[in-house]
Amino acid sequence: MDHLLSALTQLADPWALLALAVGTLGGMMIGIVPGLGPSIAVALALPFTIGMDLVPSIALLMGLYCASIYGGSLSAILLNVPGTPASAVTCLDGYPMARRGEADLAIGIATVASVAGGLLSLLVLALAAPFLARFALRFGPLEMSLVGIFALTCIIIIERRFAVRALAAALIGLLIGAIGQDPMSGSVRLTFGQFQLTGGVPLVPLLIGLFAMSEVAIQVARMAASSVTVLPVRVGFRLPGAGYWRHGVPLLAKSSTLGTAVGILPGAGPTAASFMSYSEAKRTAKSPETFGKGNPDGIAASEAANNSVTGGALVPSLSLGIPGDPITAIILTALVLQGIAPGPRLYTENYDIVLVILLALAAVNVAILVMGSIGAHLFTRVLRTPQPLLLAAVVVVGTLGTYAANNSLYELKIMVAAAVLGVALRVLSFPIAPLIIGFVLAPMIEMNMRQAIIVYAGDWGVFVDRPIAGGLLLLILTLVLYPPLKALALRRLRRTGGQAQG
Amino acid sequence: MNSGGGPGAAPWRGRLLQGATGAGLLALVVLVVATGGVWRPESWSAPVFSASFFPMLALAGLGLCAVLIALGADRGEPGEFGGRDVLRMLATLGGIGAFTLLLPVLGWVPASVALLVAMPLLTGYRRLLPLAAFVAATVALTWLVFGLLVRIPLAPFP
Repeated sequence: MDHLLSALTQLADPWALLALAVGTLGGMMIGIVPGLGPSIAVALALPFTIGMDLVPSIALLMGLYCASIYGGSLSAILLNVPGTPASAVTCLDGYPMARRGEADLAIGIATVASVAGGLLSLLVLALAAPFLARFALRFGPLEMSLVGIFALTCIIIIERRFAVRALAAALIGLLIGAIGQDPMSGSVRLTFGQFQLTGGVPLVPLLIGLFAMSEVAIQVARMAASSVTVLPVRVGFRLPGAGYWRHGVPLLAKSSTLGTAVGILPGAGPTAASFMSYSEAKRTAKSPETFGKGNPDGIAASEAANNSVTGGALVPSLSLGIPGDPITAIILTALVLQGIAPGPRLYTENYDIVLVILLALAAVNVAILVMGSIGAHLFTRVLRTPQPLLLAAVVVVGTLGTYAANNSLYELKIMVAAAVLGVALRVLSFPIAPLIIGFVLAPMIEMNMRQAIIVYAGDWGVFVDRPIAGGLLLLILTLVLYPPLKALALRRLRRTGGQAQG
Repeated sequence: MNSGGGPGAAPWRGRLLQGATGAGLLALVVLVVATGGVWRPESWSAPVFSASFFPMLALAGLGLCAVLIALGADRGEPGEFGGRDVLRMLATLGGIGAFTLLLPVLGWVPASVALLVAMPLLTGYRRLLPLAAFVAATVALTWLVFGLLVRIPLAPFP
């Protein structure tokens, strides 16, 4: 109770409330703009959080994280262009509704579904994360290194068609994370004579370069090909009648639960959650043929799921210190920069901070409901700002923000190098997310792996003596081996079928 | 947008791109091993205690990935972007690089104005009045945030 009161008092601070409002408002505006998503929103804010107190910085990041995912739904409904990839499915029913003059109803459903998803996932975060953290206190170096490898494996196999490129990206991330002083021997490696790299590659310029600057370069290249028009409809906020909610509430509960579960898995993210939830809603609908033609259930399923990923992704992040996606990786970094170490000990040593995060998430969801209901028509004016102007502003803010993080011109060079790397990887179809997760997890995996090898070298029986480690190893092997073995079995089955027919 | 090796492109072009990607990645791995200070044969008797253990493990994995990519192990077809797109990206990256170099020389206010004017004009934006208003608003906002609140030690003017 004392912790709760302390957290409430900290969050009620005027600066924290201001940061929360700015984060929510800014997140909505960034989410609305196609091409600028939650990753860029959180990455651009990271340099500013360094100079802020802990609680306002948490409030700012939580506001940006949740509100930018919600903001993507508004452009999906009005433009048929998702503001963020997570809202791609919302286009399918949101845009047809807007075309038949029901944009206000579509925005109302998207807002309520987003808030419902966010709050349900918050409940899961509040209940599941402490349990996981208590469980993780039993983990030794072997288990921790395997948890890190498990997270990377999940992120890699999710890429399916580009799994080898995803593995390569993760390894590049691990390599960049290993630059600088070795944590065990103290000798320097991979610095190529640059003494500024002895302390490692700083995260802020790496993230701004990889996400914001490479995105600007790609948007400039795509600019000629894209043309969007805002529908001439009255933008507002309207809710369906009581009759809708009889089946709407169970649908929101199901979609939010699915989204939260997907969020807990490293790598899956809000886009996968919204697609899965939409498919499930369509599969179980009484009239599935109306999906894609302006069925409000399609919007509810998609938006509840993609927003519920926020709480789900924070479960492993806060309890294990393992980020599920690049956005939670940035949030974890912000906490580390503020002197807070996420992981099992967060719940025993800084429980009031955990409560601040939970309360901030709850407050952001309430703010989304309030701002979405009274200000949707104002936020959508951002869509009228020409893209060339927005992209130029992103370059200026991103560059000055990177410089401001450590007042270092050298970090601007790292930012440009990261932008070149980001563009090269994206042009060659390498996913960026495994690189960021690999970079963030590198010190943890390296340290624990080497300690585990020193302690248990050659003793394979350790996987029997330590069942959690054995279980994790089995899980990793299953994830890696299942897809090729399944493909092999299918090929054999087809061949034997063909021979039988012949 | 032209597709480098996408669905409409000739299959040999896609295979060539994959081969070149794999070969390029392998060359990068060799370069890092040769110049990154991680090739330490003297530590091979007890590798886990060596600073090069983890980087060499990652580089070995990366080398394997390079070979697999060159052999076409990924089922997806890379190459969403055409040559003209890549040129536009390179020009944008060059502009960002030039901006970071000009910041300490021109001062961050004139450098920001130069970028905010040049980038939209070079990407085809021609409405000068809204551009002027946007530049004034953005510079005022960045002055407020970076000059007055964050107080970055870069000179705002030359």
